[in-house]
Amino acid sequence: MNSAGAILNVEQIVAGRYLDLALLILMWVGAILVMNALKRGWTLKWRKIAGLEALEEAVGRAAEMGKPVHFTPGYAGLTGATSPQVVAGLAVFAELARLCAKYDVEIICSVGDPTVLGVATELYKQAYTSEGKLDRAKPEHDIRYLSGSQFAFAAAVQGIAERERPAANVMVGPFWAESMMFAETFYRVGSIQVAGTARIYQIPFFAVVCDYVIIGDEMFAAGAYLSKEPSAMSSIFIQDLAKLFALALSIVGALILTFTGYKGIIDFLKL
Amino acid sequence: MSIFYRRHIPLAITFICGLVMILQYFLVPGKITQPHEYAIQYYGVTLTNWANLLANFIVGFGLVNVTIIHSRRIMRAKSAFDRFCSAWLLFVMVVFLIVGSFGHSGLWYTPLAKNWEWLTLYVLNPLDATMYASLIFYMASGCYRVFRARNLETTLLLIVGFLSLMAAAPIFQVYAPWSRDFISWFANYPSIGAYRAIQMSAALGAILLGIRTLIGTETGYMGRRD
Repeated sequence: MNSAGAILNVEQIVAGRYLDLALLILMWVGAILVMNALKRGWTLKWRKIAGLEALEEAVGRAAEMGKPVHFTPGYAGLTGATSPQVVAGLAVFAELARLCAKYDVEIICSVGDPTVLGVATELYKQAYTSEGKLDRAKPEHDIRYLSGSQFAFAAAVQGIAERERPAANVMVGPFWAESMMFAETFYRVGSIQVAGTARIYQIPFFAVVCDYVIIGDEMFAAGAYLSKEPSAMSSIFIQDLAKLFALALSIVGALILTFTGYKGIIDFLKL
Repeated sequence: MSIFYRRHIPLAITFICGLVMILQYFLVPGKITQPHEYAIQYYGVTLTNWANLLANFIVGFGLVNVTIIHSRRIMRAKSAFDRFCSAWLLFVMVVFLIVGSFGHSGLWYTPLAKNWEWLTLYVLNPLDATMYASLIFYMASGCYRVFRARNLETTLLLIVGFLSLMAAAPIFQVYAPWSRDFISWFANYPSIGAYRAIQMSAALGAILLGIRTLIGTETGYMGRRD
């Protein structure tokens, strides 16, 4: 095909984004290939993500104690740069709500952005419907929009912790300064805590205070991991391969740069 | 509602919108010159505007949700204090709604601009600052519990934490300047290395989440498959 008839010419791609596009296409094609292979019977051994495995334990504890479970995806919305983290948090919420519906445990979802409110309400209703208990669902009570302001949201969540004293607290999403406030308050009221974020400076806070931590990429894998569907799990395999590739590139690049001063890999990454 | 409406149509919309945004990123440079760049930019900006419009429209749902929850609490709460708090919240919400609607600087008709300024300066900002300042107590209590040498990891954390405190305290900067150098090295090399590893894996995770969303295998945000 000549250049005039081509759908996409290489020249049309914005300079400096060739490698990005190539890697995106590679990962996309890789995910589809692995998905097909898994459907044909290829098996893989998946490592367990402790934080996600702990969801059932958290709900079980709440059922034994007769107390609610609290969940929050943070106060970010579905339209910003942190929306992938919110989506990952909502995938965890969907599973948590299903478990709560199954074991007749009250779940309180604290929402800080109205765009999340509708989605969380729908997921909550679907969870109760899938367990055949829609008549017991109370979305207008359990899904709570608190505030779009960071510290008003933080104060409201702390208020819920003190009043309701949940047996378990699950926080998965983007968090800022409020992370430590939540973790400490729920620790003080005796909640078992599962926390996950990809916000790099909040991970240490969660790591030292919470019982289970879902770190970075584990959080993004939550939806696929919890669904246990081969089509979704295939991308986790590709994710791990990409991580190995990045690791190898980092080590080789650091060694070459340190010992020879050659900056070829840096130029390659700028393609 | 059939699965076609509940799942297939949303997935198709997600795929088309996602594809437009990807094309916009890879094909539209900062300075637009070609017709196809104009076209992709137009669709990308339109979709972004729709998303922003929808997000702002949905604020009304939040308002309704807060009103329902606190109205019920006023009617059913056992404690008079709880009833008062909910009533006060609704009152303040209405005040902010009215003053904000006629006083926010981004609006065209602002007879209550002074009142909005006063509310922001003397109510919102001090409350925010108070909450932020309270963070120090949470960090102190967290440190108190964590800095105990129970095993190898916590012992290492204790040592590095103590050295960090040393590096920040003027007395150690004067009498033990090596502590500052050590912590600077620790923060600039091993620590940054670990941060970058997490950042890189999180970025790859986000990319794969995007791919799963586009090809319709990530449906966690839509509930479980039927």
